[in-house]
Amino acid sequence: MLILSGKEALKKQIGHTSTFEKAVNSFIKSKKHYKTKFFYYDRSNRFKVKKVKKSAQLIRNFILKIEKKWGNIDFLLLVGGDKVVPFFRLDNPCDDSDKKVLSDNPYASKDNDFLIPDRICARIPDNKDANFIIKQLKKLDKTGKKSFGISAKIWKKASENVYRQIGKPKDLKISPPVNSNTFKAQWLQNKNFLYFNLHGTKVSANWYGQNKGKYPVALGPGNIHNASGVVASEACYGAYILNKSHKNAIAMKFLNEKEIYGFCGSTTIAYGPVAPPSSEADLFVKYFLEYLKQGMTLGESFKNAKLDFARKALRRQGFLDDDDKKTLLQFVLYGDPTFRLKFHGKR
Amino acid sequence: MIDSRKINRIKRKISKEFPEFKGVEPKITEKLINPQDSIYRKLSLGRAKRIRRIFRLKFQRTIETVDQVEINRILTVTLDEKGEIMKITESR
Repeated sequence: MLILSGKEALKKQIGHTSTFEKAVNSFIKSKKHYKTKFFYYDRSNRFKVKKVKKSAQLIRNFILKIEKKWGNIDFLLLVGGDKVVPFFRLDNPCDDSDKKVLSDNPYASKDNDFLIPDRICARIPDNKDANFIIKQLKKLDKTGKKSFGISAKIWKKASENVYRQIGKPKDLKISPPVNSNTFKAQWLQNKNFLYFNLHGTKVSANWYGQNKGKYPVALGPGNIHNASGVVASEACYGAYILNKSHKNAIAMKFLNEKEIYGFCGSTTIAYGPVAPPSSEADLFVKYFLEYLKQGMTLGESFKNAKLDFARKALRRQGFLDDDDKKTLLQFVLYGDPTFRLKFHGKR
Repeated sequence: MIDSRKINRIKRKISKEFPEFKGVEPKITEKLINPQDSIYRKLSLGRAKRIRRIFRLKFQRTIETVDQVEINRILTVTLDEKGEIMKITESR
């Protein structure tokens, strides 16, 4: 596994990097099953790969050069948000209001076909706080046995089709009637999977339900206390973290929780079906949860979900359409990609 | 281009099943999809198929949430070359 960050940019976000570096070293020692190295792309390194400036393309080239010297990199962990390791700004395949798609896919690809990942790639955002990053590196599985899921009412059937991978469809919460005032924080506690199929937007910290033209706030950062498990969200902009923190982004709020082990979501406008069969975001998240449940790591589940998603779309239609391509590009994984849920109950 | 009767039929269906898009005029586009050889190759799926032609009807409107946030809602109907519905998707 390669852990990669930018020293100068990280310093600007979190101040001194010494405690972070110590934590990374402990993390590496704890990962006995992984051959792991940590590099700053803007510092000299033992492979004598020339350091680069903070540019997504240059950093990707840096990774490819390290790989040439070191050998196959199966896991890549980017440390820092967009101001440290920039997201790629890719052309949006869809005709919608996103000018570009923020994506980590090119970091996961060895060739110029960025849709299909060759390696696992995850990111630990910085939240402008060294302790936030360190917290992500020290998380230990204390998850519960049950799952939680919530859907906008209009997508109830579609969401049930996803949720049945991890729980009983009848247990899926629906918004409305659920709203942020009736949402109980304990619903998110002692869980292993947390699934969300709600509306999201770039400008608001909240996620929304929908029924008959009404869009209640279903969940806000204030609803999250002592949550646990792995989060999978289909909300538009659910993983959009540019200039955001745990105070105004649900993704960051979740990651700031001690027992949230990873967050999988979309950086831009996401799409899904109105009813089964699952496609786009629904299908991707369904595969992601399936693999996690099989006991694969976060990173393996995320990468395999992208591969299976593309295969399924090709078999079904014979091609990837614009929505499928955007789905593949926009979903990102935050957290330690080697994290594996330990199941206390039956799988 | 696609038969206007088929378009009208879809517009009626959308108005009925998705009342929030009632009266919204869709943007209709036609797209030729070339065989995606590199994707097939990368997934070890054999050979890509022939060039495909699809049509997309995009219904779009801005709604307001209970806390006065505007969200751009998009509903897309994808049709195959015969004008049959392949899928209906909505923005999340």
